[in-house]
Amino acid sequence: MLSTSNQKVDEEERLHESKDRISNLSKSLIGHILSFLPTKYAVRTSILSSIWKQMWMSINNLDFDALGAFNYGKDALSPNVQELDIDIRLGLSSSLPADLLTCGKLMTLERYSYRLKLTVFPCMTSLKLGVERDVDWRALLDIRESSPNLRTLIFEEVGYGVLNC
Amino acid sequence: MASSIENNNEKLTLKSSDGEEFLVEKHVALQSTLLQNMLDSDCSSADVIPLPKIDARTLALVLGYCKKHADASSSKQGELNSFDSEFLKDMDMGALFNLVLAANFMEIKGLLDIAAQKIADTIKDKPHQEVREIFHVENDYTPEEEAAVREENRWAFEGFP
Repeated sequence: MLSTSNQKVDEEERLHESKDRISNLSKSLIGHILSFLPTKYAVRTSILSSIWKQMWMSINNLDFDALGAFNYGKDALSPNVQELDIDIRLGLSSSLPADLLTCGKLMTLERYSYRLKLTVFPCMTSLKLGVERDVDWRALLDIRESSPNLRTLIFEEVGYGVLNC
Repeated sequence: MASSIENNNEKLTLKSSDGEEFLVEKHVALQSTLLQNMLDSDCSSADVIPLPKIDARTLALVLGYCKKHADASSSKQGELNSFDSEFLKDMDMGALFNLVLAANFMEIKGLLDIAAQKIADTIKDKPHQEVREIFHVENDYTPEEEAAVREENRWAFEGFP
């Protein structure tokens, strides 16, 4: 008993003495802190040390200001993400990485561009879609089929101006 | 009726890790979800609630925050916002980390969020060498590994020193 308690004290002292307090925070607490940063800045913390390599994946929100992020960001989505707000208005023709499409816990996806091919969102329960008048309704059919748990589907008419597709 | 009035004025005693006791009004303590749950489930029948992970200096700060927010709940939000930004203004990193841990443990969301925001603000816009220095993070990457990390998320590192 005594040795166990001594070990515990040693451990506590070691943690207390360690100057690197931030790396000693729990993963969820670091995730919470990084959630206050734009996603790009959170990802940059991966350069700090090996402990930090995947730390940013604990963030509980994601924002991307450019579709370009997806072209690089095949690791950009963690299984913990529940909400994703994508605002793609440039009409770029690209497909989302497979990781997004199998993002296990994704529940809500807002303003998803209908142009992108949707594959599988098994957990998605709500989707808000910005659509133009000449929307391709076949794409919307895909969403229904690939998201069996979808309960809410909102169409929002948007005037994007000129789009090059 | 009498007992209800008595309850409103009820006070709790919190004990810090270094043994200091703090007499706290119940409505102030209720800012903490942890203490609220303890009160709701009547776990607080003990005279003194020990908080073994929180030292007296940190607990005093936490309770100062809770008192301001408990007393000002009906007043203007702007006043609370300026209190919040003043509250953390010149705080050193050690105190800030103690505060974030205490707020997390005691489940005081508002305090946790402003302290987390403050730490996030410290990270933002700084070169990683400086962030490592501020937080004493030891870089254990080889130059090759560091380059690989950059490459892996190239989009995030564009324009980054």
